[in-house]
Amino acid sequence: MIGVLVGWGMERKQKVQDKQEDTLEIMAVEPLPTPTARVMEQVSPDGRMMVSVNIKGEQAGIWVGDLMLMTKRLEPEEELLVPFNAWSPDNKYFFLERKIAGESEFWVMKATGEPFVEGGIYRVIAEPFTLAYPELTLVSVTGWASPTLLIINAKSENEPKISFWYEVPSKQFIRLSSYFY
Amino acid sequence: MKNKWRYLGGLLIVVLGVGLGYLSRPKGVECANLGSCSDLPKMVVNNGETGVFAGQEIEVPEISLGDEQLTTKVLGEVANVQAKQIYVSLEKQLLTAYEGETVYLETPISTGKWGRTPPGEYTIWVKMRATRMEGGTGADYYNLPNVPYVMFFYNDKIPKIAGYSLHGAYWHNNFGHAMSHGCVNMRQIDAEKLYNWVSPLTTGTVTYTDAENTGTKVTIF
Repeated sequence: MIGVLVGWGMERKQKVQDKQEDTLEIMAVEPLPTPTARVMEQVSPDGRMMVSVNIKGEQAGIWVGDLMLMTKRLEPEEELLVPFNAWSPDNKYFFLERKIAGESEFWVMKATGEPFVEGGIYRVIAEPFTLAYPELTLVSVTGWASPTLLIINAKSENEPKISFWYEVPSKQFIRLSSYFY
Repeated sequence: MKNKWRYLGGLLIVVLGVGLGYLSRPKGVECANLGSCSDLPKMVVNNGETGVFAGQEIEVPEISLGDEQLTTKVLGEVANVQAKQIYVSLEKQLLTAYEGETVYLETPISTGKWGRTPPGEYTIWVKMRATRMEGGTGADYYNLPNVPYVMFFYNDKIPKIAGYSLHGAYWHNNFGHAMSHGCVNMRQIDAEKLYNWVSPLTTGTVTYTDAENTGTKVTIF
């Protein structure tokens, strides 16, 4: 009886060891995922500054050169992008695109990281635009028409191509007579 | 009162000058700028001035020619001229510069919105470190000193005097979208890179083509 129990015990121990080896083998093939860093960046028009968004895991950091402006925990399906035309032509502002679940919001920030007069270091565009023009859908922010004018393209059910300027200092949306392709 | 008459007299001279320039332009020629078609482009640096674009005053970047190291012509580089070719896609708003089959530069650009950028096969005939561009009317009026890294091109239909060029733009940042009065606008850093690469290879702040220093071909389509 004792011999049977010892034999059963040894067999079980061997099975556990085999299982652990299997597990170890699996772990060796597929290591635990570690957050990988992704960096998006754009150089300023004068070539002297770089805005970058560094994403590691769920954490995004917004930098201008060595100055970290802010960090943000990304939600599932959230992206923070640096568009090609991010910088204002006078190198004083930049804008970022925040995508979440297919919807885009746009943030304007000062290159110095200083807050705007109303407080907050970034200013959103899509939300106030939708409040001001509920009949329109903001399609894109393409870039800067001048040092303080962002170009917004929008559409409605009847009009597929409408352009606006967003004037950063005054926060005003200015409807244009021509469309910016 | 005297000042008023002086001002009106000056204004009349300017209007007459512009009008005569316009009337004397080659028949059927589209012009890239107000100054085009009345005079060939000039290399000029105007530091300390304010520009105008999109109804706004624009801070003009200063250019200190004395501080710059020109990338100048090196003997033997001329042999590569034939291999260089620039393509500008109006539809994609994209410039691609090839050296043989190698892409040297690919970047979003801005072509004509308020004026047409005429498609065709062109040759660069002069390049200038900087010039002034002025034109448009009303809300579209623009006056831009120190336009950087200007590469003028021409062909048998668009003469040199029409003033079409590739150049840097410091007044907007909307590349990849039509935004010019007919020229091909580029980011300043891209324009500088292209300027130092294209032929005629640079010999000074103004470089004309000649028999040994011919111009790079530009295809706009």
